[in-house]
Amino acid sequence: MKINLAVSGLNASDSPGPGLGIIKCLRNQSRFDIRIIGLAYDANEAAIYVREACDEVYLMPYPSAGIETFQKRIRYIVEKAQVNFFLPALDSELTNFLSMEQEFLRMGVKTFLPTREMIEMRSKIKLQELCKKARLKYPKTIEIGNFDQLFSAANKLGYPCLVKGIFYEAVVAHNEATLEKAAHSISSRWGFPLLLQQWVAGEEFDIAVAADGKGNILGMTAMKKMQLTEKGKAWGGMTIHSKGLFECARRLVKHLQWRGPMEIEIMRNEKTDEYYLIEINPRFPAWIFLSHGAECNLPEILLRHVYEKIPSGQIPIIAKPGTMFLRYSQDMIISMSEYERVMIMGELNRDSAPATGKPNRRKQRET
Amino acid sequence: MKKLSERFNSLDSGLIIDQMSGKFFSANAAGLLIFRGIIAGKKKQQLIDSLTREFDVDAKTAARDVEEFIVELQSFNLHEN
Repeated sequence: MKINLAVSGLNASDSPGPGLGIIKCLRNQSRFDIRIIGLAYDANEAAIYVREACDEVYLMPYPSAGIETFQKRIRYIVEKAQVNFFLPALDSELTNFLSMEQEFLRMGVKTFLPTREMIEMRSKIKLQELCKKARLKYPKTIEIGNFDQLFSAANKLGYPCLVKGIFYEAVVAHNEATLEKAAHSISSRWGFPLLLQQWVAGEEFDIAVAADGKGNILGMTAMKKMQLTEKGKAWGGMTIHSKGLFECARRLVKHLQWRGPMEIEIMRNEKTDEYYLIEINPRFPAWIFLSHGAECNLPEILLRHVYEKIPSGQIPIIAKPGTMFLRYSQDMIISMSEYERVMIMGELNRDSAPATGKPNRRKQRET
Repeated sequence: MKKLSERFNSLDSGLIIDQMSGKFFSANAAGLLIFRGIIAGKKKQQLIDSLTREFDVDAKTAARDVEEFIVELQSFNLHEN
């Protein structure tokens, strides 16, 4: 079956988007014949220029440009690239894509995304409530609306504690000085409220899931983080088989009736052996290629569910334990003509792009 | 509980991978022999016999090695997590 699949999250910095990992999963499956249409917000998103990644690339307006600008651009991309499946990979763009769900249906374009309600229920501010209902542990968390509440809240939790922005960022505060600095830094970017959270010492785990929207897990890859960046992002890890982690994922998927991709971050308290939910992201993680390595290619499983109607409620596909990944960074020489096409025209079609990353010498001589 | 043989992947180099917790351990040749024996469900005396057969040690030393290894193994938390 041929699918023209559009995927975003092509930024490949030290905190990379999931796009390249998703694309690698899709390139490594053989069930579907997939043409990859990359969606980027900036010409500097490195995965645009990875030759084996995207067949076509289109720039999109940032969410701040407004919904109408976004929708207009998406309509153009659907028509030009004949997109028939969208797999958005960034939290901040999901509501924009959801705003076009009905239109996508009319156009014959498929998605498989969580609803707005699901996304809201797993927001940082609602996680405590969610954990209570799903009978999962959640670190003590206090929401503060201004700086006056900062120190008293931290004293209730004790040090170290985590300072979290409402959407992004988390910094460990070890004392009042680092607490104040972190709170000012995060609130200046994301505003209030801030969340102060009990520090759970232990091991970090990450789970990638594809779910059917009816409370069932289609596939699951659980990973122990083995290397972390300064921002706490996984730079290496290994798949594991843990009933405890599976049970956490099962309860969340069932309670939320989750549909589509999901990432669940879990800490295990090293003293009590208890699992604490840290975060849920409504997308695949950047390390999703590990799922392919562990024989549980989650993007493929998602497509199989959508296109081949894998029945809900069957035994989920679970990743093979003991598969390890290490991430590395790479400097890429890119063609200025490709960069120019993305930068000026906002799109790149590899069918018509030069075949190598070398500069076009004839053009150089002419100028 | 998952079978120990499914939980652990022990490589010939002595690297032992706990596929439930994601932890790695390393053992020398004797340790690996004991470990694989335990995974295979051997009794303590069988482990001692294996050691004396494969290595140049007497039964007393082998018994001590097996005891020490088992004590160390307790720290691996051989339970479901």
